[in-house]
Amino acid sequence: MSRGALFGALGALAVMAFAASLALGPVHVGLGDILAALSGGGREEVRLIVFEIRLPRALLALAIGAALGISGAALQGYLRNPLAEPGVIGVSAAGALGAVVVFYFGLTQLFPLALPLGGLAGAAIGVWLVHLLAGRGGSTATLILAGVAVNALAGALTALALSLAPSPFATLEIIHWMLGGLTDRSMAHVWLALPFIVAGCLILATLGRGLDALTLGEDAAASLGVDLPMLRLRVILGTALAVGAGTAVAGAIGFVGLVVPHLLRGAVRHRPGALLVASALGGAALTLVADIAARLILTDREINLGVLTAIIGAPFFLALVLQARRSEP
Amino acid sequence: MSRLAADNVRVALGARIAVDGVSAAIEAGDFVGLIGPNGAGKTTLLRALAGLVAPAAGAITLDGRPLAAIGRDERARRIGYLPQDGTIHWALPVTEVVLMGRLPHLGAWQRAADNDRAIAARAMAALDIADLAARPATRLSGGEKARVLLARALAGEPQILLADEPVAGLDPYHRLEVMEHLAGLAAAGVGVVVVLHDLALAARFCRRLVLLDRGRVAAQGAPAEVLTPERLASVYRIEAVRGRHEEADYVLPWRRVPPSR
Repeated sequence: MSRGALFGALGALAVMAFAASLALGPVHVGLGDILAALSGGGREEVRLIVFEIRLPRALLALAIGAALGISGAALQGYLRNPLAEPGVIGVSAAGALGAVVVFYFGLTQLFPLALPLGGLAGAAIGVWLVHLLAGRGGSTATLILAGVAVNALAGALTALALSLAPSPFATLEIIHWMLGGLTDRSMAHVWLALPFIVAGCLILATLGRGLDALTLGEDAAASLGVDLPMLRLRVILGTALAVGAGTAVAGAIGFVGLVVPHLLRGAVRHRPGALLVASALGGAALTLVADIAARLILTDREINLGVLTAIIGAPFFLALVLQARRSEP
Repeated sequence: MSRLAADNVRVALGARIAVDGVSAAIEAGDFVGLIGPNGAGKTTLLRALAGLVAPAAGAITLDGRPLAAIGRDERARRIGYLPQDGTIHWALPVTEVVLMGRLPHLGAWQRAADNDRAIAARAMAALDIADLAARPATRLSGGEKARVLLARALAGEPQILLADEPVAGLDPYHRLEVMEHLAGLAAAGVGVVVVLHDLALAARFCRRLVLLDRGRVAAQGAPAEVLTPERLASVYRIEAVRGRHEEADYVLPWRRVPPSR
C-alpha cells in the first residue's frame, strides 16, 4: 500500500470512529439530529447532549489518541527501541503527580480547571527535569536514564500523597482519576488541552527525517546532517506538550502509544519517519473506539478508558510478542 | 579538488587525550589507510575529521575553511562517514537504507525523487546488491550488510569518504571486494580514508598510510616507508614476514615481540 493510500484509509477510519463517538451513547440520537445540532439547529436537548457531553469527549479522544500514537512512534524511533512509549521520559507520571498534588491540597474545590492545570504544570516540571538530567549531548542512553529517574521520583511522590491523603474519599478520587478516562469532560477541557496537543503533534510530525537517519545509529545520523541535540529537544518538547496536556485532562491512558506504532510499522515498511503521521491517525481511531466501548460495555456504569486500553492492550501486546518471536529466527 | 586537513589536532574524550598533535591531510583521489594498535586514536581522529567531535585544540579544515564553520548540510554532502560496526536498527528494505545516503541532498520537506532513486540503484549495482533491494535490512549476512552500508555512503556521492573498519568481520573474499571498491572510488577522484587493522590489506591497497600510536602520528607516507620492521616492533609489538608479490609489497604479522625488560 502506498503512503497516501494508508494515510487515507487510517484517516477515514478515524473520521468514522469520530462520527460513531458522537452517535453512540446511553441516549439514542440519530446522526441527522446530531448534524442538525452541530450546524446550530435541532432540538435543545439534543444540542445539550452533543455539545456538553459527546463532542468534548469525541474531540478529546481524537486528540489524545493522536498525541499518544505520534509520540509513541517518535520515541520508539528516537530511542530505536520498539518497547518505548510516551511514558518512558516521565511525562505521564509527572503529569499525574501534578494532578494528585492538586487533589491532595483540595484545590479542585476552588476552581474545577485546577486539576488539568496541575497536570500540565507537573508534566512541564517533569520534562524540564528530564532535559536537565539528560545533559547537553545528544545521546539517547542518558535520556532513558533521566526518564527512569523522573518516573521513579514522580511515582514515589504520588504514592506518598496517596498514603497521606486526608480522607479515604480523597484517596478514592485520586485513584479514579489516575485510572484515566474521559467521563464528564467539558469543552473547557478541550480548549485547555487542544492547543498544547496540536502544537506537540506538529513538532513531532516534523521529525521524520532525523528519525529515519537514526536508523543507522547516532554517528551516521550526525554525519548525514542531523542535529542530534536539537532532535532530542524536539522529541522531549513535542511529547511533553502533546502527552502532558492529554494526561492533564484525561489521566494516564496506557498502551495506545506502545501498540499503535507496532501495528502500523509493517504498513509503512518500517520507516520511522513515515510511522509518525500513520500512528497519529491510528492512535486517534483506536482511542475513539476504545472510548465508545468504555461507555457501552457495561449498561449501568462506565469503565475507565485507561483501564480498558490496558485490558485490551496487554494481551494484544503479548500476541504481538509471540508473533514477533515466530517470525524472527 | 577538495582537501580535508587536520592541523595539530588534539581531541579529548572526557579526561583522556585520545588524539594529540595530529597533522594529516586527504585530497581528492587519495587512498589513505589509517592504522595503529587498539586505542591509538584512529576512530577518534576519523570522527573529528567527520565533524562529529570538536577538537580541543588545532584545526580541521575543508578546502581551507574550518569544518566547524561549514553548515551541517554542506558538510554532510561533501564528507561521507561510515561508522564502525554499523547497525541497522529497523527492518527497512535495503533500498530505503541506501536511499538514506541521499538525505543531505534533499531539502527539509523534499522526498527522494527519481534522480535520487537512480543514484541509489547505481550504488547498489556497483556493490552487486541489486538483488537484495527488497530484503529487510535486519536479515543480512555480515558481508551483505557491509556492502549495503557502503552503498549507503556511496549514494551520498561524497567528495571525501571516511570509513571506520569497513572490513571488520568479513571473510577474505569480501575484504578484498570492499577494498577493491574503495580503491576504485579513489581512482574515480574521491578522497578515501579507511581505518584498517589488517596490515596486509593496508600495504596492498592504500597509496599512503598514517600510523597512529597513543594518539600521535608515529609515521606517515608510502606503505613501504611506514611499515618498517622497527616501527612494527615499537608500535605494534610484532614481527612480520615481508615480501613482494606481483609487484606489490606484502606484510604478514608473524609473532609478538617479547615485552622488553
